[in-house]
Amino acid sequence: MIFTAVRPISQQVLADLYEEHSPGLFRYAYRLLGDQDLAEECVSETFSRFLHAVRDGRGPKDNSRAYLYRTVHNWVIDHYRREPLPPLSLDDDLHTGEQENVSQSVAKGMLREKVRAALLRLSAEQQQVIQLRFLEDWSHEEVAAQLGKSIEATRALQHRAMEALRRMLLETEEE
Amino acid sequence: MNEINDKNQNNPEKDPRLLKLIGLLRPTPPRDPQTVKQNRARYMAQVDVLIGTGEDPSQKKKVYWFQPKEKTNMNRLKPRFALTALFVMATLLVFLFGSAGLTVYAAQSSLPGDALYPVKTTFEQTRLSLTSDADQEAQLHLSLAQQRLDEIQGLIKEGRFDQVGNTSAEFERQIQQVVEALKRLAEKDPARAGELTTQLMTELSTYTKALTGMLSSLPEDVKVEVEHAIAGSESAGLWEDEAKQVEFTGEISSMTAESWTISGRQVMIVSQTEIKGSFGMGDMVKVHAMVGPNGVLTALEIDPSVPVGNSNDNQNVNANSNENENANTNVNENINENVNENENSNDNGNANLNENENENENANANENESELTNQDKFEFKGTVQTILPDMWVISGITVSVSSTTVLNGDIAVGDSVEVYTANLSDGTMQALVIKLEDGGSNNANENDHGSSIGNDNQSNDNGSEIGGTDGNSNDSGGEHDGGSSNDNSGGPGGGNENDHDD
Repeated sequence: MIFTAVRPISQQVLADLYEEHSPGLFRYAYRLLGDQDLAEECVSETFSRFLHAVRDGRGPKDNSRAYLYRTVHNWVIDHYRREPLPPLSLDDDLHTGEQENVSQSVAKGMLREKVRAALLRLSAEQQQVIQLRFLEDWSHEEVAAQLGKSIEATRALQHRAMEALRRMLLETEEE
Repeated sequence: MNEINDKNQNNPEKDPRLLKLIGLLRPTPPRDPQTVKQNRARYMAQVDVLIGTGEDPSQKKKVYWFQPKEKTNMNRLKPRFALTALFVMATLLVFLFGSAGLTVYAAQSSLPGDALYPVKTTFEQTRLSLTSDADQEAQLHLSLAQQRLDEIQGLIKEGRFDQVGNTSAEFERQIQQVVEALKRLAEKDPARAGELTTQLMTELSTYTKALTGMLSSLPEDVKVEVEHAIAGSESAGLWEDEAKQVEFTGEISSMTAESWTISGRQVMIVSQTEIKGSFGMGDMVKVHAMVGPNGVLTALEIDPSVPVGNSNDNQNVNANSNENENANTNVNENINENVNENENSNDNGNANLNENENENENANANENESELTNQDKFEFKGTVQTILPDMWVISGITVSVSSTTVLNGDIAVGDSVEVYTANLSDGTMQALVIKLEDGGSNNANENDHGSSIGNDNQSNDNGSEIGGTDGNSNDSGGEHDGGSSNDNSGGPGGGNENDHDD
């Protein structure tokens, strides 16, 4: 009876899925978490949740990539419920790149942390758009599919996200 | 800055500075290949387990992305796809049997410390998470215990002793889980629980034998851990067998993580042991223990020995906090010096006397035991199982009975009795007094009181009960504890009064 309505899934498909998405998911998690071990844990846990969902018949119906990225993101959100978000204002002098005493790489590292902190302060959907569009180079169409929104709505989301980032990262100096 | 901002006022997406900042997040560090490999193996193990290798029919239906929600959809597709689906299904099963589970299979033979070992344990975890009823769970844990045992054997064979401890602990944990599952099962299906318990008992005796067999080839420090596992294994099978449990009160004379010596008897401390309070050496405790096949005692519960409420003894109770430390000192000194010298005991007594009277009595108690060396006292309650002219079996403990044994009451097989014994040097236990648990004699009652009042009295009690052997103890004891020790001197052994007069 259920034979007819559902797609059997072979183990090979599941193995391929892992190979295909594990690297991207790791990058995605790392950019939000800034910690390699945590990112690995997050990816591992994501795939485990995915398999449990598949087993229980509540797995993704068509877009498993979207499902996986969403799960990674939820894991990160859960993580930051337990841990404080990294602070946004590290050192306001640094973000323009005017290094004084600090070496360039240290300054860059601190600046990166600040960008990460700013990114984490966006809404979950905005974070996804920024990462997937600007850091993973997905097309508008792909991002829209990921979010389950229209392309227009996705563009608007991206615009607001960028505005928010600019406010956090570039407008502090003017105050 | 403002100029650029103004220029891009309406389009932050084109702001080069912002894009550059975001771009900082782009590089990510290379992943650790070892971690990647391990996580991948773990994932594939989960695929095997969760999506199924086809071995468990209940899992076959789970080999689908999702369950159909709309029946109409199903009906519409049905005629056309039924055969195809069947074909796909068959292919799939062949595929599953053929290649899936290879990783897990390879991991099955791995030992603790191996790279693939985490795969094995993850696989086990997942299997456990899939069992929902206690029956299956008990069996699974039992088979996992067997696994651990095999691993211990493997580790020993390869000389990898460093992992033996962990694995023994794991073994023990599995056995506990079996017991837990059986307890739950017993509530719903006592008959089945009984059946499985019998099975468990059989398996356990095999395990115990296997573990004991391994002991000889182990270094000393590892041995302790395996011995502990043996005790855990022995005790697990007895969880419901009341007849093989004993209760006794005594003083702690040595403590390690694995075992305590109480009243001269070694009692294994396992993770199931409920220790109600924090105890130190010299403390009086009530022990509820199980008797293993070899007479090994495993503590189920250790409680403080509760005062019966004798007003005379309040002082003694108050002094308890001091006693612990002193007791320790005394034990050490006595052992180091010479047990036979009464002077020593007095010395100790005097030193302690400065601080607290009670302490001396502890010292005495210890000396009593030292002097008795192999005649350590042991009291317990149990059920009479066998009565032979010179030997009784009480709750699995064999005690020898002679003409000097005081039999109190008309005792028959099946009766609950209190037994006071002395451990002889050859390892046998000589019964000094056996009395029916209820309606014992006055003497016995007095002893009871003494034993529960506090450390001091108990020590003297013990001495007196053993009878005739306790002259030394009283030499020093007599100085301090006055009335309370006299109370107790009415024990079967008698003979304390004179000493106290000193």
